[in-house]
Amino acid sequence: MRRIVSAVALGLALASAVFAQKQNAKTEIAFSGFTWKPGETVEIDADKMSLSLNERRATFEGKVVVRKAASQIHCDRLTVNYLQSGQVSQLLASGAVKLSEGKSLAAGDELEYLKDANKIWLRGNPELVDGGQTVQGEEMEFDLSRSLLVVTSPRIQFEKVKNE
Amino acid sequence: MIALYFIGRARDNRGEEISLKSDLELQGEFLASRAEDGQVRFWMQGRDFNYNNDQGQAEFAEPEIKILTAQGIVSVKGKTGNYFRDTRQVRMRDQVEMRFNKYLAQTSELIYDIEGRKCSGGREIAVHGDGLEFKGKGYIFDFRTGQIEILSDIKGRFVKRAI
Repeated sequence: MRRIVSAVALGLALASAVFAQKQNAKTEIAFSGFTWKPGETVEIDADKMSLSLNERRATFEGKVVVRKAASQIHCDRLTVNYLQSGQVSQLLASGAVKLSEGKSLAAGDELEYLKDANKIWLRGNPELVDGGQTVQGEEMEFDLSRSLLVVTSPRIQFEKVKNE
Repeated sequence: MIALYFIGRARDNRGEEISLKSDLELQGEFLASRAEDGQVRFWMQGRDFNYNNDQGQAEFAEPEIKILTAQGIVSVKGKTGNYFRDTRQVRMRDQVEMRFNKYLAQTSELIYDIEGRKCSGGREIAVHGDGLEFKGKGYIFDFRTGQIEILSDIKGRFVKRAI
């Protein structure tokens, strides 16, 4: 994660910045828990649910919590499009969206996950916080396949890390 | 308003139309159906149908209804059933199972509104199918729109499975 934020510092002059991490087993982009693996499940709690059978679309409202591996999404409203296999093809979250995994926390007005693209987009004043470092921008794109975070119009804040 | 007619199978009475204007007792198995616009869209069957005209309701055992919807035929089974003349509703209780497409919904009580073409209930419900498994409390299934609403306490998951 620090590599991402360090890269952000180098890219401040750019209108949009691209932050890449080395792709190996030990360095993973935040929220990689949404990378789909066979047999995994997406668990959802909510106050209310509406299921459209023809469209294979489920809509959840009120205190929505999505759990996928180590990642969690909290939001007010969620639409899930799914396939016959039970594979989630798209998530659309809105209203006080918070995405968390470990010590990484991202927030925004809207979140979209597309399984085919294996990407998560965070829109509407998105903010990513990790280890006292904060990234803000117009839009954040988490490319889970390439372990790549793209922030449009990034703004970065650093906090001095206390020595333990 | 379209009247509800019972085509009294009573096995031996297939084709006989009986309107519910007097007490009626059908011993053993029975089958009833309802046509709309010339097409049969609702079937109800069970055992030991006892209709009390003064109360405007009937009791019967092992109820099963089938409803022709835009999503195909929806089948609902229970252990005990009631038919209410004035509200045109069928109530099922105990181990109620609703099957539609590849989905199965299980609950302990269900009310089918014949005119409104909706199933509803206030009890807990579990829905399985197409890789989803959800539970909640209270539900409305609108056959006109093909939408199921679960009204509170939603917990469940999507499970990717091999087809």
